[in-house]
Formats: sequence, C-alpha cells, structure tokens
Amino acid sequence: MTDAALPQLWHGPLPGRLRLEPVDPLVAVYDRASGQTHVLLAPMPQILAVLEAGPADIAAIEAQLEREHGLAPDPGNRALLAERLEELKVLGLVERG
Amino acid sequence: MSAMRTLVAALRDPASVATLDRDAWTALVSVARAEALLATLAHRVEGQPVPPEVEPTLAAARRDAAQAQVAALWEAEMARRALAPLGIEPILLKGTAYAAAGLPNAAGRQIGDLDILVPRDRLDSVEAALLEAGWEWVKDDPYDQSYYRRWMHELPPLIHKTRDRMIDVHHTILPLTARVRPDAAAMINDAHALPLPQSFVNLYEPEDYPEVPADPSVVPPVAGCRVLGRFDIVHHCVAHLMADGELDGGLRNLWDFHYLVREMERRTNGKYVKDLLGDTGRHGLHHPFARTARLAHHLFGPLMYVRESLTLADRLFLRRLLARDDWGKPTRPLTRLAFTIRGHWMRMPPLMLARHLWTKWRKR
Amino acid sequence: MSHNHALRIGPVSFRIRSDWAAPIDTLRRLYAGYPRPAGAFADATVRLEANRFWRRFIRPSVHIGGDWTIPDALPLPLAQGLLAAEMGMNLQVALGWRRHLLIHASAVERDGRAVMMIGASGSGKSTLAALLGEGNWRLLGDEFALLGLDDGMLAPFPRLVSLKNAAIAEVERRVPADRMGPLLKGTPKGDIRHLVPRADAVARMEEGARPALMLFPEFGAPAGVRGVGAAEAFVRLTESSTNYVALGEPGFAAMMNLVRSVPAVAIGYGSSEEGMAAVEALWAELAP
Repeated sequence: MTDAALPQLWHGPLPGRLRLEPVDPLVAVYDRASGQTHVLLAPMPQILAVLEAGPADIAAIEAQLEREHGLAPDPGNRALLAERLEELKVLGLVERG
Repeated sequence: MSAMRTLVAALRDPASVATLDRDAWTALVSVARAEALLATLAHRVEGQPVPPEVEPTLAAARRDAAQAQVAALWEAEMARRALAPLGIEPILLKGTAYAAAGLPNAAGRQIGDLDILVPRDRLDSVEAALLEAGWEWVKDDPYDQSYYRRWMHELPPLIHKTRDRMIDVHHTILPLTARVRPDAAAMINDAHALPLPQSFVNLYEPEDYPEVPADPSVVPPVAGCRVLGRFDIVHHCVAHLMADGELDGGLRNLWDFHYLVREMERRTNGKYVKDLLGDTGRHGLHHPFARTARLAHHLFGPLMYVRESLTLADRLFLRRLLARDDWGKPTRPLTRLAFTIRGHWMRMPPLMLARHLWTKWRKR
Repeated sequence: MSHNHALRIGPVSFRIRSDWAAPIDTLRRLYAGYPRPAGAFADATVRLEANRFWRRFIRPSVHIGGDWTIPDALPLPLAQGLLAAEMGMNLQVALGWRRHLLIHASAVERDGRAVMMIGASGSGKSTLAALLGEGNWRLLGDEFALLGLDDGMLAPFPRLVSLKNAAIAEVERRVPADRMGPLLKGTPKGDIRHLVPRADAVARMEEGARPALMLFPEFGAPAGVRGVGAAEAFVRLTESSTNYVALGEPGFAAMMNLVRSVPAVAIGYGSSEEGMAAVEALWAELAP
C-alpha cells in the first residue's frame, strides 16, 4: 500500500489546550496555544470532542458523530464534514497528518 | 540624568532604580515603552524596591509581553504548518527566535512581526504556500513589489487575512545590494532544530563548561522550526542592528546583543566570546560587530576582549540610539535624518538610490 | 517652551505636555476638580506637538503624540486642541491599558449597581449617559467601561463627556455654563462640546459598581426592546473591546462571567426622553 492510499488522519488539540464555555446555542472557545477566541456552532464542538480520544480519519469521525448524535447516515454528511474540518484547520484547531 | 540614560542604567544595574523618585519613574516608563523595552525593564527590576504606584504598571507589562509572546509563537507555528508540506522548516529570527529557543533575553521581549529565513531557491514555493494558507500582500503597488524582490533581502511583507499579523520572509540577513554580504547558505545550513536540548551550552559544544542549563520551562519550544547557530544568532543581531541603517529600535537590539553575549560569556567562562570574535570574519561582519560590541560595552557593561573607547563615529551612533526626550519624543532630527540616509545608502548602490528616491518622489 | 498638566481619572494617571498654552489652560479649567496622579506617578503620557518648529506659530496644527500613537494620524487645528488632548488620552487607554477589560461603553450607577450602554459612536451611549448622570444616576464614564478582571466590578473612569451635534443643545440647557467646554466646530465628527461630569461623579471616582444591566442602544432605530442572549452579547462585547485579545485567558473569563451574570437588552429609541424612560423601565424590571 502506498502512502497515498493510507487514509489521512485528523489530529485534534492536546488535552488542556482548549477552554470551552457553552453559551447556548454556541460554544465559546479560548485556545491557550494561540491566545485566540473562537465561537463555534454545532457540529464543530462535536467534531473536536470526537478527536479528543485521538487522531481519526474522516470516515471514523463521521461514523462516531452519526452514532453519538443519532444522525442518519447520508452521503452528504461526508462532504459537509470535510468542509467543517477544513474550517477547523484554518482556525488552527485541527491538523491533518 | 536623562530618562534614556536612566533606562540604560536600570538595565545594566537593576539596583540603581532604588534612587528614582516618582517623576523619574514616570519618565523611565515612558521612554522604556517607546523603546519597546518596558517589559524587559520590568523583568530586570523584579525584586528591586519599586514604589507601590508603579508596581502595577510593571506587572501589567510583564503579563502583556508574555501574552504577546504566545500569539507570536503561534504565528511561527502556523507558518511551520503552511511550509511543512514543502519539507521546509522555517528558521525563526529575532524576537520570535529568542522566545522559541528559551534564550536568556526572551523574558519580557516584545515581539512584533514574525521574521523567518528560508532558502532563496525555495522562495517561490514558500510564497505560494503562504498565500494558499491565508496570508496576503500588504503592499500591492507593483513598484514596491518589484523593489522588494530585486533588492531587499525579503519578500514584500505579508499579512494574514484573518489573524491580521504580519510575516517577513527573508532569504538572507541583509539586502542583496548591501556592501556586507553574509553567507546565507552557510547560516541556513548551520541552523539548529528546536527545541534546543536541556543544556544550551552543551548544544553548542560538549566540551564547554556546563555551568547553568537553559530553563526549558521558560517558554514552550516550537518544535519543527529552527533557529540560527550559536554564533550566527549573534551575527544576525549585529547585522540587523548595524548594517540595516536606520537604528530605529536600536537600543533594544543592542540590549539583545549584550544580554545574549554576556550570558554565553558567563556560561562558558569567556570561551564563547573569543570564538565568536573569531567567527565574525566569515560573514564580513567584523566592523559592524566591533562597533556593536563597543557600544554595548559602553552602555551596558564590559565584555571580554572588547576595546573600550568609542570612536567618533561610535558617538554618532550613540546619539542616535539615545535620541529621545523625557516625554518619549524622538529628538535630534538631524542625526535621525543622517541615519535614514545612511539606511538607504547601505541598502542600495548610489545610482539605485537616486532612481528609487526619484520614483518615490514622483509617486507622491 | 512647553506647558504641562497631570491628573488622575479613576485608575489612570495622565501627564499631558503641549507646545501651546491654550489646550493646557482649557484642560486645567475643565478638570479643575480632579485629583493629581497618585504618588505623582503618571503612567499614560500624551504630547500635543507641532511637527515643525515654525508650525507652532504659523497655521498651528496639533499632532497627537504619546506612548501610544496612530501612525499617519491627521493633525487638528489649534482651535481643537482640547479635542486633540482628549483623543490622545483615549488612545493611551484604548491601546495601552491592561489592568481592566476595556469595553466601548458608557455606564451610570445607582445604589452600587450599574447600567452599561454598549455601542459605537452615534449609538447615543454618550448622550444617554450624560443625561442620566444629571438625574438620579452617577456617571461612571461615557467612552470606556473598565471591568475588573478579578472582581467583575466596574471602575469609574469619568472623563469629559464628548457631545456631538444635536446632543450638545440637549445637554447644554440642563447644566451650568461652567461645566461645558468650548464649542468646537468643524471637527472630523462635526460639532463637539465637552461636558464636565457632575461633582458627585468626580468625588466618587474611586467607588466602583457592580454591572447589573447591559444595553445595546440604537438611536434612530424603531422603538422597541429585544432581549440579547449571552452568546450574542459575548460576540458584540468582544468586538467592542480594544484590549480583549491582549488580556488572554483572564479577559475571556471576565467576559464570560459578565455575559452569564448580567442581562442584556437591545433598545431602539427616537429621542433622549424615550431612551431614558426605557432605561428606567428596564432597570426596574431586570435589576430590581
């Protein structure tokens, strides 16, 4: 199997890095590593929660989210998830590796 | 004593602040702020008798600098992430480097933009990767763009579109047309990976006396980036201070030089300074180095192997470095002008300078 | 030849130097009741300067200098020297203050508790605060609310209130003439006149207050009241703070605490009477 065939893993923030404060319906996040504050809407906090357990590829994240939040599996989910992960990457909260 | 002289004295000998009255403190805080040295000063005088009205200002400055360093190191991290797919580990320069490497002058060091050094032959891909990752040009003007690319030692400045922070990408440590030409390839080659090992001294030479190990808890290291080698990091400080010309913020750079070299001198029983002096020839920086050392020696205290007396030209530099009144206002306009001209002169051959000034004037 | 003045406003001690006597004379007159800097130490410096020696005398224009400056800021004519001084003082606080969380808001106090009115220029926050401060409220400040990082209390910062255009006439008729600064015509923001806070606001400038109500006033918007949830308040407040980012986690915590413990309301109003009535009604309802 070549490198290209291996699924890419997404890495979330290490424990202790984020301070999360829910302010319904959002979650305010203080990122201690950068000093930045983000205000996140679902499913961003949920994605970060999945990655707390360790790095995962997009299929695993999708499956976990569907399990935990009772979402019906849907082909559109993957594309939406990919978009959200890119946004989290731009914010510096997740890395792909 | 003028506030600038008081600042120099306080950095040199923190106990000297015990004699300052409130008015002197007011002036000192003002000029220290103007020289981006307030937090450094606040660290230097920690533990000294400070009036109770003044202490909150110093404490706030320390906290502020520490928080600003978090943001500055984050910029380095984001640059690292953008360049990692290209296999490039950016070499951090100046304040970001001192902070990332946990060097002695990191405490309180105020950091502005991110400065990184990359190989010249990778510039195009670096530029593309940064633009892809959300940085954009500050100067759109085609003349400025082409000027930077042809003559300066850096890409035109970039600013990140959401984080609003600037990055300066250098490919050598001085402009291409400057009379002094450091060996950029050698510097890049000799750059050290972060984090520096436990003992800063041992990193550089196992035989050195391991007197005091660097404190790794001072600043979190930015793994995956690099810093310049044990002498190059000082050469860059000298080049930046002396050969860049204008001397804006010069006092802080001079303090960086002094404190860094003094610490290394202390840890190696002087061996470091001797070797450093021997290394200056490699990049053609012997004269700027000597001047920097004389000025540091004069203001901040003796360094081994450095001749003490100032030349006439040195005194002009001193005038420029201390050109600020007790209310923080820049003074000595003619001296400043002389150094601005010097700055241009050093960056460009005379013919280029004339053409550049002509074009700039026409665009006004 | 230069002229100086030093004064304390709440927790901030200023020193101001000017190449001309007039702005200093005006500052001295208007801030006459204010204390000197504590312990004679001033940690905010403002300089009003001519950028060429001869510009002190010929078409004098005032450049605003200080520990913190805005590069390429345009100078003001000497007639607006007071405005330059006030802008300079604003700048030192907005860019340099780190001992409180700064929120772009006016605030007034009653019974140890405060209403904060958050908004940009033109929202009416200064006018409302000025008028309330002439009634049975104590003015805490019209430009910046200073929120304590440890205790969540507001520290008073009673600067001269900056009144613009129509607001000038409204306030003028309610206060004695010696509490009004000169009329400055043709400033970048139109006509401006400064109001000296009432004596109680000055005398009690070291007495803080606990925030109990947050308003987002919108002058000229259709009359109405809308509850503002904590999330929206958080976003709007962080946007209105010049030093939130610089403060790091303590700033985050203080802001979080504020939006969770203090109700917030957006109000549209068409006249000062309407606005003031809305404040009283909301105070009675939400902060009894």
